[in-house]
Amino acid sequence: MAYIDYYKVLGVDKGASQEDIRKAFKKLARKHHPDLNPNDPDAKRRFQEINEANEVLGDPEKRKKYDQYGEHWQHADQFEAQQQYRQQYGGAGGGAYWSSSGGSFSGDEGEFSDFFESLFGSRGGHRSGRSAGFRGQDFNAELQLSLRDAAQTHKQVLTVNGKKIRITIPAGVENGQTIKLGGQGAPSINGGPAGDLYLTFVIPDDPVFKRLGNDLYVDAPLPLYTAVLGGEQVIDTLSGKVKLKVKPETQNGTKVRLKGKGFPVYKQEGQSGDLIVTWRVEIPTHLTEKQQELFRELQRIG
Amino acid sequence: METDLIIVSEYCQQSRIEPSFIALLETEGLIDIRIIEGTRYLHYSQLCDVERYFRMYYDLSINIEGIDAIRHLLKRMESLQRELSSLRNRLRFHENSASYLEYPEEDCF
Repeated sequence: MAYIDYYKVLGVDKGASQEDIRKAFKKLARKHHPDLNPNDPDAKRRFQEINEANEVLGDPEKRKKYDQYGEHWQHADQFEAQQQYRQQYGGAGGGAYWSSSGGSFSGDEGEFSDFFESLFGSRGGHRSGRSAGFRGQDFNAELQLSLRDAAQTHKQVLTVNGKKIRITIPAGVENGQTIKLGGQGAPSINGGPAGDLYLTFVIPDDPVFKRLGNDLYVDAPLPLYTAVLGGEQVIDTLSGKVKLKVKPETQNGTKVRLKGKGFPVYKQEGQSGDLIVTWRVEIPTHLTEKQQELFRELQRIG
Repeated sequence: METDLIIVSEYCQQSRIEPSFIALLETEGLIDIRIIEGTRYLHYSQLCDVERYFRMYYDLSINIEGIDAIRHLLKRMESLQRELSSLRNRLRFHENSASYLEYPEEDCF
């Protein structure tokens, strides 16, 4: 457990007045507050550090104790200090309150560092609240889906904070897309509505199909003889195999577009993008003497 | 009557938010209050915003005009983030498509 220099966190001198500390805290809080930096875990972590520093330095009693034991906290009689602290601060009262419970914080308790807890004990029960937040907390979660799973509407059971939630994922969700599941966050402690669950989809690359919006791209092998003479070739699509006609003299890299064989359009049932097939002409290998002779013949007459 | 409505005075009491703050938000057009038979109601879907504005106002000392400006900027930021995510997906597509075979230097002549 490392010592935390709360003065450094707030960017103030050790001799800073309470007013200086308050101003430094407000300035940094306006920069890093999660409400002003949605979906930014770095800002959230930084705000928690600032908040913890203010909890200590913003309270003259805690600040005195921190100044006294701070750097040598491991030599202090922690047990006695905690006992004294509890007697002194038990019940309501305490430092500044930041109403994080209704915001995007993952939890109100346990956000402070081990260093803080070792010096001041658990903060539970000694912070006063100006507003407890009527709604339950919102939760944020990530869900990894394969491209093929994302292509079909399906049900999944998620476990979020120990609670099982059954959800239906509509076909066509995109990598990085976030959906809101109303009322699936934490229950309210004040009889209000539960918070919401924000679910972000992570869809890794598929080894076969590449997605661009609602269109899919696939490279398909084409035997040289079919490319030269034309014919039929079976290719894979997301919904199964299809047989394609190949024109004679098809060049390597030729693209063909198959309407409606791409990715389903999100929340537009029955609609899909296109599948763009790029022919990759395969040059035959391990030729026999006879085959090599025929190619030479072609070369001569070509 | 809709069940997703809460009486403003009850909400203020339970969440320890001053009714005048709700009135201020309403006056500035940040929230909509429904009045049914003389009783003022808030829709549940607005509670998240109310609590966010509360934190900005009291914890960050941002005035109502500032909150309104931030609200617009956050909406714009959200839209830009969506656009960024979509562009990242496109970039990933093009990066993955642009794979080349290494050609040995001695074979170039």
